[in-house]
Amino acid sequence: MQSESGIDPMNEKTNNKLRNKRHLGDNTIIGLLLVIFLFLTFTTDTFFKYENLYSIAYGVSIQFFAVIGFTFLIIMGEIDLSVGSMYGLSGTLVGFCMTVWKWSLLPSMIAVLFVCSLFGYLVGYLITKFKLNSMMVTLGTLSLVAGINAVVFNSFPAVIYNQEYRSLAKFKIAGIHWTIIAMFVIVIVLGFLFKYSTAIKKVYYIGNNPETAHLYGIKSDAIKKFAFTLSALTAALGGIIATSRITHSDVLTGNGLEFVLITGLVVGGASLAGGRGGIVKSLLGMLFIAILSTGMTTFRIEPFAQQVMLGVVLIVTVYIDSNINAKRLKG
Amino acid sequence: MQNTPTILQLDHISKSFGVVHALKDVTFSVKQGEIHALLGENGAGKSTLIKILSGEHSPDSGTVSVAGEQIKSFHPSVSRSFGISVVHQELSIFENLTVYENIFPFQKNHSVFIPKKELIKKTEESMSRLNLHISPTAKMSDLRLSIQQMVEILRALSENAKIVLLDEPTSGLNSQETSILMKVLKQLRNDGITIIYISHRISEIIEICDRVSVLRDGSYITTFENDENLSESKLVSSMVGRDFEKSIYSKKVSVIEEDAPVVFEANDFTKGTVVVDASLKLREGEILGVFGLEGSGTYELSRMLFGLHGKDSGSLKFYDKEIKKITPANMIKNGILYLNNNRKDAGLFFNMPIADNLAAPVLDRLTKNGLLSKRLIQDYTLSFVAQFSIVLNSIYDTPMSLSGGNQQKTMLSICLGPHPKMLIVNEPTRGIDVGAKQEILNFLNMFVSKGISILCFSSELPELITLSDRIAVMNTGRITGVIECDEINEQNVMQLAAMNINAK
Repeated sequence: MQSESGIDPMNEKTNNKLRNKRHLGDNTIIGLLLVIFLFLTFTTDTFFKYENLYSIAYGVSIQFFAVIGFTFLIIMGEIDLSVGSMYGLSGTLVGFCMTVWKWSLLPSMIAVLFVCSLFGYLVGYLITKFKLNSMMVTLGTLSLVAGINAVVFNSFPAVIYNQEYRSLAKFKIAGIHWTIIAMFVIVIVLGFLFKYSTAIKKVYYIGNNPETAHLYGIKSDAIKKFAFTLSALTAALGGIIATSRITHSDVLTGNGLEFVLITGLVVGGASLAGGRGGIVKSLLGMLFIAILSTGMTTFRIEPFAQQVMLGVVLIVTVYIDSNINAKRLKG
Repeated sequence: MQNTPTILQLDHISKSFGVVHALKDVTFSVKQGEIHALLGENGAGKSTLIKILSGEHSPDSGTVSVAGEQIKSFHPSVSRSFGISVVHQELSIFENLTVYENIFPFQKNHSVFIPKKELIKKTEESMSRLNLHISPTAKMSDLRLSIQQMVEILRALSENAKIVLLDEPTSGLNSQETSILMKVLKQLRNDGITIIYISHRISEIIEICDRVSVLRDGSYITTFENDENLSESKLVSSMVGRDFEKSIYSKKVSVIEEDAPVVFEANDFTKGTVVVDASLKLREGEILGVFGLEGSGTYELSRMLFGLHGKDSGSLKFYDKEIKKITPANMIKNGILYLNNNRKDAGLFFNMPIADNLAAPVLDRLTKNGLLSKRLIQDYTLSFVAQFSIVLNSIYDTPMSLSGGNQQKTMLSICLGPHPKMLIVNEPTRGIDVGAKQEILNFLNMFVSKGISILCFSSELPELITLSDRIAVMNTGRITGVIECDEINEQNVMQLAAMNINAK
C-alpha cells in the first residue's frame, strides 16, 4: 500500500531504516526448555545432577546423528519416515559383517554406510523423478527396511557383539563420550552454515516455494536427492552407534524414532509445510523431548502413559505450527 | 435515480494496519437497485473496503448502515444476515459438488435428507429468470470459469442477498462471457438487486454502471454519475490524481531494422494439440509480442520455451548456439530469464524477506568465500529498490507486505539481477494499477534500449500494441501469423487470433 510519505530509497537515513530487522524470529523452544528445566530442577532431587544431565546429553548425542539429514528434508517440506528402521538396520548389518564375515569394524561401517546411503539416494531418486509424496514412499520404505532388518537379524545367532564393536559408543575424549563432543562440534559448524552458507540457503528457498525456486534456477531435485541420501547416511551412522551402545542387535532399535524426530523438530520450530527450521532448533527440540521423557520417568509415569503424553505434545505442536502458518499466509 | 432510497451508507470509515492507513475517513452511499462501480489503484483501499463490508475486518472508526440499520458487529455471518454477499475474484466453490449443491450449500432444513428435487427445481427457476442454461446436476469442476462465477452469483441470490459485491468479475472471462455477465447484471438490477462492481476495466464500468465512486490512497475522492459527461480519461485521472491526456497506451514506432540479427530461435515446438509446430524468431533488441485468446496455447508455449512445461518436440537456438538442455537452470546460465504470469503461484517467496527474494538467482555473486555476505545482499537489494522505486518499509519484510505493483517490480528485479540477454515475460502487468502498469511498460522499454531482447506474452492487446515491434498471434495452438510493426492494429491481430482455422 502506498502512502503519501512514501519512502525515498535514495535517502541514507531511510536506507538504514530499510535495513532494520523487524522480527526477532520464533524462539518459543528456548522458553519451553527453560520452563521444563526449571520445573524439574525445583520439583525433583534427581534432575539437576551432573550424572543425570550427562546421561540425557549422551542419549541425545546418538540420536542427534539421525537428526542431521532429517532437518534438511523437513525444511524442504519433505519427510523421511524410514529414519527409525534405517537406524535399526544399519546396526544389525554392521553386526552381521563383523560376526558372520569376520570383518573388522571400520570396513564394516564404511560398507554399511555406503549401502544405506545408496538406498537413501534411490528413495530420493524415486520421489523426485516421479514426483511422489515422500511421506507415502518412506512409509513404504519404513516397512521394507524394518523387514530386511528382521530377516538379517534372524539369519545369524543373537550375540553380544565383540569388544571392538562395543567400544565404538564408549570411546571417550578427555573423559567425555566422543558423540557428545561430535554433537557440539557439528551443531556449531552446521549452525553457522545454516545461517550463512549459500548451498544451505537454497534448501530454504525450496521449502518456501519449490516452483519459484525452480523458476530461478535452483536445482531442487538434485538437492532433494542429496538430502534423502544424507538422511539415510546420518540415520545409519546414529544406528550403528546406538547398537554399539546396547551391545547387541534388537529388532526394536530405532522403533518410533521418526515420531521422536518429527515431534522434536516441530517443537523446535520447524514446520511440516517446509521453509522453517534449522539444526540448532532441531537439537533444542530433541533436548526438550529427552528432558520431558526423563522428567516423566522421574515422576514414575508409566511408559505407556509417557507415550500418550508424547502424542499430546505432537498434536499440540502441530496445532501451533498450523496456526503460525495460517498467520503467515494472511500476512 | 434521484429519488431512489439509499441502501448502503458508509460514514467516516477508517482502518489502519500498523502504520498503513488503508482507509481514511471514507464516506459515500450506494442507492438501492443501482450498479455502483468502485474504482481505484491497487492499494487504494478497495480490498479493505470489501473486507469490511463482507465482515472479515471491522473498521477502526466510522459506521456502516444497510437500509438505515447500523451494522454493530462485523462478522461474515452478520454481513450475510444484512443481505451483503461477495463474489471474490478467486471463486469459493465446491469443485467436486454439483451446481445445485453449490447454489444451496448451507440450506437449513429440518429433515434428515436433502430435498434434492426441490433444490434442483429452485435452481432451474432462478436460472430461467436470468436466462441461463446450466444443468443443475453438472459437476462444478467440469464447468468453465465464467459458468462457475454465475453459479456463485446464484448462490448469493439464494441467500437472499440484497447487495452483491463483485470483485474483478471479468478478469478471467473472454469478451463473449463478459457480455453475458453484463446482461445478467442488468437483469439483477431490474430485479432490484444492488450491485457493487469492482474492476480495473474502465470501459466495462462505463458500459454498465450507474455511478462510479473513486478511491485513491485510502481516501474517497468523488462519485461520478455515468452520463454523457463521463469519459475514460476523466476516470483515470481521478484515480491516479494526474491528468492523462490520453490512455497510457499508444502505438509503438519500431526502430528495429528488418535485417537485424536473430538472437533467439524456437523451432517446431509441439505438445499434443495444445501447442502445434510453433516457431518464433526474436531479433536483437526487439520486443516480440505473442498474443492469443484464452486457450490458444500462449501460456503453455511460454512455459515450454523455458523448460517449465513438457514438450513432445522443439528445439532452441540462442545467439547461433543450440540450447540442448531446456531447463530453467540452464536457460538462466545462457542469459535468459522468465517473468512468471501469476506471482501468487510462483515468482516470489512470500514467506522470505524481500532481500532473500532478490538474491535467489544470483546467490553465487553475493557469496564471499562460500558464505553469503549480508552486506552484499543489502546493497544489491537496495540498488534495485532504488532503480525500480519499490515502496517498502524494510527489505527484511516479506513481499506479502507490498502492493501488487511493488510485488511485480520486485519480481522484475529478481529477473534482472543475473544480467539477462533476453527476457521471457508473461503478463507483465497482471493485477496492478494503471500507474504501476505505465512504470512497468517504461521499464521494459528501458531494458530493450540496454540491449535485452524481450519475448512478451500478454492477453492485454493494448499493452502489446504499445510495447511490441512485431506481434506473433496464436490460435488454437498454432502461430497463425506475425504482424510487422507498421501493420499492427487491433483489427489485424484479432482477425488472426479469432479467425476460424479448420481443426483438421
